[in-house]
Amino acid sequence: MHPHPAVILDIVTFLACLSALIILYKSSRCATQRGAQLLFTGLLVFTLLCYSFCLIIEWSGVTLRLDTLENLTGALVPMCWAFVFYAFHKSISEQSLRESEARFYELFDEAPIGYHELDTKGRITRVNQTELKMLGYTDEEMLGRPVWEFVIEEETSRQAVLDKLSGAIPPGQSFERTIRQKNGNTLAVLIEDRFLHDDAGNIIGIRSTIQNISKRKQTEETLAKEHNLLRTLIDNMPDNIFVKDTESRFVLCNIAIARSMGAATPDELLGKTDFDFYPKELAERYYADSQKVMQSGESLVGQEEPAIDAAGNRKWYSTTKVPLRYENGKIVGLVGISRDITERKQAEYDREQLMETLASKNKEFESILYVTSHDLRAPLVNIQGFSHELSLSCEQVRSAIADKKMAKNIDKKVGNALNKDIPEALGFITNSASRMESLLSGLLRLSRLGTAALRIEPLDMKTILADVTRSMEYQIKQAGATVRIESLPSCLGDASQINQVFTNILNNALKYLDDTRPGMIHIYAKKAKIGQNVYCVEDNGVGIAPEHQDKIFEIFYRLEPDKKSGEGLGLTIVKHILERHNGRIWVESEPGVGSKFFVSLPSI
Amino acid sequence: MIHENEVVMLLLGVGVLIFILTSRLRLKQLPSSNIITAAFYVAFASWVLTVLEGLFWEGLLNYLEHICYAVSSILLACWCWKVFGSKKEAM
Repeated sequence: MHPHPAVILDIVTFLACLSALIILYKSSRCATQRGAQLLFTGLLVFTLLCYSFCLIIEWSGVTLRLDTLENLTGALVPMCWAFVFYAFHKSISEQSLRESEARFYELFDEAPIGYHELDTKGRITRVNQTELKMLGYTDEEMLGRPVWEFVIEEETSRQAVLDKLSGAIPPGQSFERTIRQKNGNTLAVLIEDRFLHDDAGNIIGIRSTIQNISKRKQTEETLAKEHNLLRTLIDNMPDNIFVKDTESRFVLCNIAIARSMGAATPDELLGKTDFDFYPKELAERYYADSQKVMQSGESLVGQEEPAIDAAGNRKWYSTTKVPLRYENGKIVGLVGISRDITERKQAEYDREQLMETLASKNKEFESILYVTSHDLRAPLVNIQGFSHELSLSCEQVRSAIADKKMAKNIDKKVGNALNKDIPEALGFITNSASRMESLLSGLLRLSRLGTAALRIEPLDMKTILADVTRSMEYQIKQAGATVRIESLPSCLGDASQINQVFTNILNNALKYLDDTRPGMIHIYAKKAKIGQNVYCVEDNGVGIAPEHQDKIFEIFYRLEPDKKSGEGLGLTIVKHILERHNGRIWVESEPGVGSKFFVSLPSI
Repeated sequence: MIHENEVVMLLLGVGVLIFILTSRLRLKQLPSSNIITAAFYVAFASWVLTVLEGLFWEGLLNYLEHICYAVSSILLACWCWKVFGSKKEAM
C-alpha cells in the first residue's frame, strides 16, 4: 500500500520540527534569550504534537479523542507564533534600551569635556570619567561632596551655586573658575550650567560642563604679552604707524599718528578715514594711493606727500604703504609708516632759496664788478687825462714866467692857459669826482640794504601808500599825474623798507610818464596764491621794450641815461628789499601803452 | 465543510499577522528575520488553505496545505540552525 502524499508531507513536517527542537536544545549559547527559547520550543512541541496526532490518525484510523487533541494543538500553534514574535519584539526593545543606555553612559563618560550633576544642596551626584581624569579624583572622592570644595574661589562658588539653585541667578552663562586638582595643582576651567527639573518643573539640580582652558589661558596670556609688546613698540615710535582695511578705514594706529591728526587716543581714529581729518584734496590723494597698493599688491615706498596737522600747520611726510595679506594671500588691508620730514623739506627749501639768493648775489656782484670797473674807469680816465693836461698847462705857465725873453708875450700864453685850459681841466676833474662820489654813494646804500636789520610786522598797505603819495605830492603835481589807490590787503614787512619800495616804483612811474597824455597811476591788489599778497602799480607811461624788461632791475641800469637823471639804483634797491622780505617784483609792459609793476609780499 | 477550529486558527493567525506587519521594522533586527517571517507567512497560508479546502477543491487545497506546513517547518528548522546551530553568538 502506497502512503498518501499528505502523510509523507506530514512526516517531513514532523522531522523538520524535531530537527529544529534538537538544534535548539543542543545550543547552550542563548541563555540571554531564555524566554524566547522556551516559547519557541513550545511552538515546535505543539506543532510536533499536532502532526503526531495527524500521523497516528492517518495510520491507525482512531479518530475519536485524537482528532480533538489534534484540533486543540493545531489551534495552539498560531498562539505560539504570537507568543514567539511578542517575545522577540520585547527582547529587541529591551536590547535597544540597553544599547541606548550604554551609548549614553559611553557618551557621558568619554565626552571631551567634563560633566557633573549637583543636587539641590550643591552636592555632586554624578560625574563623568573625563572630569575625574581631568581633576585626578576617583568618583568616590567626589560624589556626595559640595562642588565648591574643589574650587579655589570656594566662597564665591558656594554663593553662586546656592543662588542658582534657589533661582536667584539664571544659569546658562559660562564663567571661569580655578579648580584644585588632587595632586595640589590648580586648573583653569570654563563652566557652563543648566538646570535639571522634575516633571512638575521644580529645580532638582544643576548639570555643569567643564572645559580645561589652561592652554587657552596660557595662549591668551602670551598673546596679551605680545600685544602689549607690540603696542608699546608702536606707541613709542616717533613715526606714524597705521593699519587700514580695504575701505581705507583705520583699524590700528599708534599715538604719534593720533597726535598728528588731533585725536586724544589712537582708539578715536578706529573706523574712521582720512576724509574725517584732512581736506578733501589730500584725503582723496591718500585714498587713491591706498587703493592702488591694495589692488595692485605692490608696496609704495618712501613717497613724499604733504599733510596738514591738527594745528593747521603744513607738514611733509615720507610714507611707506605695504599690502596686508592673510595666510591664503588675500589682501585685507595695508600697513603704513609715515615719517615727518617737514624739517628736512624746509631745510631743502631753505637751501634752494639760499642757492638762488647766492646765484643772484653772484650775478649782481659780477654786474657790480663790471659796472664799477667800467663806470668808475671813465671818470678816472678823465681825472687822469685832465690832471696831465693841467700839469702841462702849469709847466707852460712856469716856463713862460721863467723865460725873460718871452716876457713880452707872457700875457698871451699864460692868459690862454689860465683862462681856458686850466678851468676846463678842473671842471672835468670836478665832474668826474662828483660822478665817482655818486656811484660810490649808490654802492654804499646798496650794501647797507643787505645788512640793515628788518623789523617785520603787519603793515596796513593803504596807510603806507598814502604816506608815500603824500611825501611825493610835489613830484606828482609837477608831473601833472593822477594817483588812484584801491583797497589793499595788509601784509608782513618792514615799514620803512616797504615805504622805500613803493617810493622808488612811484618815482620811476612819474619819471617815465608819456608827455603826450595825462599821467595816470593806478595802485591795486591782485589775486595771488595762498600766503602771498600781490600789489600792482600800473602807469600809462612810455613803457619798456621787451629787451630791457629783464635788465631794469640790474644795478646802475638806466633806460634813457641821456634824457633822464638818476643813478640806475631805484629798482635794484626795490628788488633787494623784496628778496629780503621773501617777496619779489616783476614787470609787464608795452612800449607806448604803459607798465605794470607787480610786488609780491607775504600775507598776514 | 468548514471546521470551527480551523476558523479559530485562521483568526488567531490573522492577529499574529497584524502584529508582525505593525512591528516589522523592529522584528527586522532579529537575526535572519527574513527566514522566520517567511516561515510564518507560509504557515499562515496553510491555515488559509485549511479553511478554503472546506469550500472547494478539497483534494488540491489539502495537498497544498500540507506542502505549506512542510515548507514552514523546514524554514523553522533552517532558522534554528542558522541562529542557534552556528558557532557564533546570535541573539
